[in-house]
Amino acid sequence: MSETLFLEQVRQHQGIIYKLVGLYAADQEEKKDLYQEILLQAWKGYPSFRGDSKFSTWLYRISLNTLLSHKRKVKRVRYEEDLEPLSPVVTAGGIAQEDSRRLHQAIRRLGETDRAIISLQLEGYDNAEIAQVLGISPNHVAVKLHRAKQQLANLLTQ
Amino acid sequence: MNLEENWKDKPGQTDDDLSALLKPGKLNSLRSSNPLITIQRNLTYNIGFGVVISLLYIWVFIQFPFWQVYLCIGIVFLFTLLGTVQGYSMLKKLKADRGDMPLLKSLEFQHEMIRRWIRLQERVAIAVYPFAGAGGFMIGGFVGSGKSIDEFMSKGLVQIILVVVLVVIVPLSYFLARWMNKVAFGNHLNKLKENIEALKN
Repeated sequence: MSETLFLEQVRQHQGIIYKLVGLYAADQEEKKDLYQEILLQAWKGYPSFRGDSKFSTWLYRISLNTLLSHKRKVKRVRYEEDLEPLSPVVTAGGIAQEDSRRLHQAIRRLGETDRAIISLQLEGYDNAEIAQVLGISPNHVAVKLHRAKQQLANLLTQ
Repeated sequence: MNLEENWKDKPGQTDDDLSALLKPGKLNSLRSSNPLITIQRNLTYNIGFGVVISLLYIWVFIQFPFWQVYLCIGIVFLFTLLGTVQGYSMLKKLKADRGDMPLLKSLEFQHEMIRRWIRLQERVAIAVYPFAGAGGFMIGGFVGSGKSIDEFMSKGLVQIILVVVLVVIVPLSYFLARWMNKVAFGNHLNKLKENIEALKN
């Protein structure tokens, strides 16, 4: 199996890993651990990737499975306590980068599974695709998505 | 705020720590801290240890030809073989694990595998320790006193000591094993369960 080809494909989609790890890592040390773990799991699973789905979808699955089943170190600071307060609301003429930061901060405040659902939806996946990635029904995805979006809207208007 | 745009607009989209790992030759030096990989590693050691210890039991049978030793060590020997076979079957399942399963299935798989591993350890503790303790006690008495096991065990005091040793050591070892498993996997199992429930509800 070509390491070069694998690395090339991951490099093209590294934004997925970067964004998802940013939603789950409690600190710098855990961020590095998670990058390693995701790459290792992807490399281990790469021989069984047959291209039935897009590489990006496959990488999304591997990343989410790794992130939600990662064993946190016992003495690590609790995730919620490690969160920065939300940035102040920026006016209509404000900087897009600030909006993006606020959005990511707000998503980090959601539950772990809600973060997965919201990120998939924002990435452009439809309910049926999200259902396949998560292993639940599309109807259930719709309900969970509705609840998560409401929570997110509340956080963003705080 | 346009959520989709802001999600996609995240600046950079990578960082140096990630880029540093995406270089040829790096992948093979990565080490996993995934609990299932740890269990896989431990199972491999246990299977190897099981084979070595089984050979040792055969040597004990030959060296100490007493029915009491046959009985105690024989039971331990059978449980060791059983544990080794169960461990091997679990190892095969773990090796077949694909990281791209649907999330819910993946979390349930990990939860179940960790629970099975804990159950296997606890069963071994309950089934093996009493017989291993009794067998070891009798062999120790035989070697130390130079008497036959029948002679050594005929003293009331020795029988009481054996019972006390078993009553103290077996529960102690069992609860120690449980405590160690709780320390190693307790929080993680709770977190997995929490995420499984969150996905289902």
